[in-house]
Amino acid sequence: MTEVPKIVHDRLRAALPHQAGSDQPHPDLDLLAAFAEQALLPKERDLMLEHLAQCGDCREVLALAMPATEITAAVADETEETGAVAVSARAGKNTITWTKPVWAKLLVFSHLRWAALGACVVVVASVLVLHPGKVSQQLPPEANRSSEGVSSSDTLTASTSVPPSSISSSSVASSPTTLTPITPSSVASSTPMAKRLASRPANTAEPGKTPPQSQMELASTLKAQQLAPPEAESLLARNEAPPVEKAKPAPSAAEEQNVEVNAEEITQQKTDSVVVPGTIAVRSNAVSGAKLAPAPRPTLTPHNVSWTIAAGLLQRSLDSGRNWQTALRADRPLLCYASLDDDVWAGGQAGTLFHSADNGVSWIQVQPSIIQLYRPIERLTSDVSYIDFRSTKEIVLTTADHAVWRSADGGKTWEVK
Amino acid sequence: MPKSAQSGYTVTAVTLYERSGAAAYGLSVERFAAILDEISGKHFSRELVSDSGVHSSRAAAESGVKPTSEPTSEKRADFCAGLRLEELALARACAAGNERAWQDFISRYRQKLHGMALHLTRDAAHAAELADSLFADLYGMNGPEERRKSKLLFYTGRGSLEGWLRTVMAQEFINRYRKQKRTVSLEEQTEQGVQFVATAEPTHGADRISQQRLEAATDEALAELSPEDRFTLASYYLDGRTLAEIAAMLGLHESSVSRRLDRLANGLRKRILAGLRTQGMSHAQAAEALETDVRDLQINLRSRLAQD
Repeated sequence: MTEVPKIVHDRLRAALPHQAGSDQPHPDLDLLAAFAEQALLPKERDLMLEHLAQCGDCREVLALAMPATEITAAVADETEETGAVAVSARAGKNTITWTKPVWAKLLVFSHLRWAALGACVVVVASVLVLHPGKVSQQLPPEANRSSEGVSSSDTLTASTSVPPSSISSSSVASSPTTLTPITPSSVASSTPMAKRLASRPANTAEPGKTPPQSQMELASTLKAQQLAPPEAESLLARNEAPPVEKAKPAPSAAEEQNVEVNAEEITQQKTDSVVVPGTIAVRSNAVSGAKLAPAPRPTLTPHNVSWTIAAGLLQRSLDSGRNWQTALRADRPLLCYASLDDDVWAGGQAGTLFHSADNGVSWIQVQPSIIQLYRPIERLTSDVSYIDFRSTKEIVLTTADHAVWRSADGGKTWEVK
Repeated sequence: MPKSAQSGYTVTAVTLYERSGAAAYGLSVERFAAILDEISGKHFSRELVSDSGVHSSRAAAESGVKPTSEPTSEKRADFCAGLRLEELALARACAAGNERAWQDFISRYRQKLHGMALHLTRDAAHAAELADSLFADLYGMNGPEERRKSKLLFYTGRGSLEGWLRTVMAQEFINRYRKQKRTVSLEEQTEQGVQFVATAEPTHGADRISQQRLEAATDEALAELSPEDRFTLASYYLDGRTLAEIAAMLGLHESSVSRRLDRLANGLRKRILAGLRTQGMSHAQAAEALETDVRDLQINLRSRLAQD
């Protein structure tokens, strides 16, 4: 509304009550009531308006006397006010009630605001559904783990469902139980910091000190880089490969340790963070007969690799037992292991069985089962208490319930005694 | 019937009496005709003296102004026919103490009166007190016994009885509020944030002259407006009424009031500037005098001092 100069306020106010009170008597209340109901004759109305223009008291009475369509609407939530103008203005505001039509009520801002919020939610949900690969960056590590279905026998290489480039190194490092495969692309694509850290000199470790787990991994990284620097460099350089192709080969020890270093530098918070090396593919040999993912040749020589089980985890030492790193962390505690040359088998509770053909660089979960005609599928569900490794092909498992599972073809088929 | 009434008027009075239903409340035709005669007499006497600026019948009687010519019987009949006869008969029967009339009045208006009181006071206890006080006035219980008379005697049927009751209650509420307001100390007002307006006038000679010119030009511009325009301005800019409230008081649409206010504000500015120029100011000086009002400087200074 256009504002008038302040002098107009003053001059309007100057013509007010003292003049009206002295020179002009107030009109009778019945005329004032008739004016409010537009019941006065034109001449009377002009006289009344002439007086009202100068008399604030009568204007106030008139405003209070206007009919209220909703008298009790605002009684409950309003408190007593003190100013005369405030009282009359408040009363006047309740005298006129305009009933909005339904469509007008729906178009008020408060409703539109929620509608806009709902539209935003729908858009975001659509984007997440149409581009599920982007979700993994925002999901917690548990969500990543569950979405990849590590223990599911139907998923052969679950890691291929999620582009490796979307897996950040920080999320990997912050999930102690994750079996998320780590590929070179995930290292290089995480952040520019990852590239910088990958190329940093290796003298940042602190040797000669029994470190926490991450420091142990750092030390092993240094050794692995010394062992096979050309391969590490070549793997880091393969960032432009397609995601599926990146996920299949298991990384070498050198690259996985690079991931650990990056994760440690980025998060700077968890000393017990564990990265499970290698890709763990799930295989149900008796049901699906799926082939194992081809694993590269291990770069570790068997004679300097030592294994042990500690706290349900398979530990590996690359320096004849001086430093240890976690080589395998399963959903259930591991109880036993057996190694022969590059082949390593690890068994645990509830039929947990893993096999690595490359000295622990990559792991494959094996679910021994027996299928016979007209009989239900028999699966290994009890704890694996002992693994006997007579040759690369012949594996004998002893379970906690004294059953003996035997495979003569490297774990493809099994028989039980 | 009063002796002054003509035969035609008498016929009209009977017709109106029958229409009002006053017989049910024990009012006689003569009494009802006398009431109509009294009301029409007040109206026409007020109409005749309106040119003198005296607005109420009481003031007209006190001023001693006599009607110069008697209104015709047709005008009286038309005026009386436009009254709220049924409600007038009820009110006057109540004032006369008719029991049935009071029963009707209570059944019709008691709940509404309490609702009005609650609407005004926003408090149940105060609302009951205000409504009881009004009922006492309507019963004629206030004042010395020899001068007791019901307030319903002042109802003339020009508007609805409900509207009149609402106006009487609003007046009573304001009177009560003002009595309470007088008891508020200056310290309490200060604590409530009331700022007392400084009445300092510009002391500098040039400022004083400029201020006087500005006031004169503004008064002249306001005087050129119609009473309804000035009422609209005062209600909006002084009383802070909303457009809807003003529209209801004037019987207009809200958008009409909005357009009128815009037109008035722009027109006032132009008229004041024109008035200042006729007093010898240049356009730039007039615009400067209008925009840089001395009171603005005082207000700014006050606010700055309050901040410090």
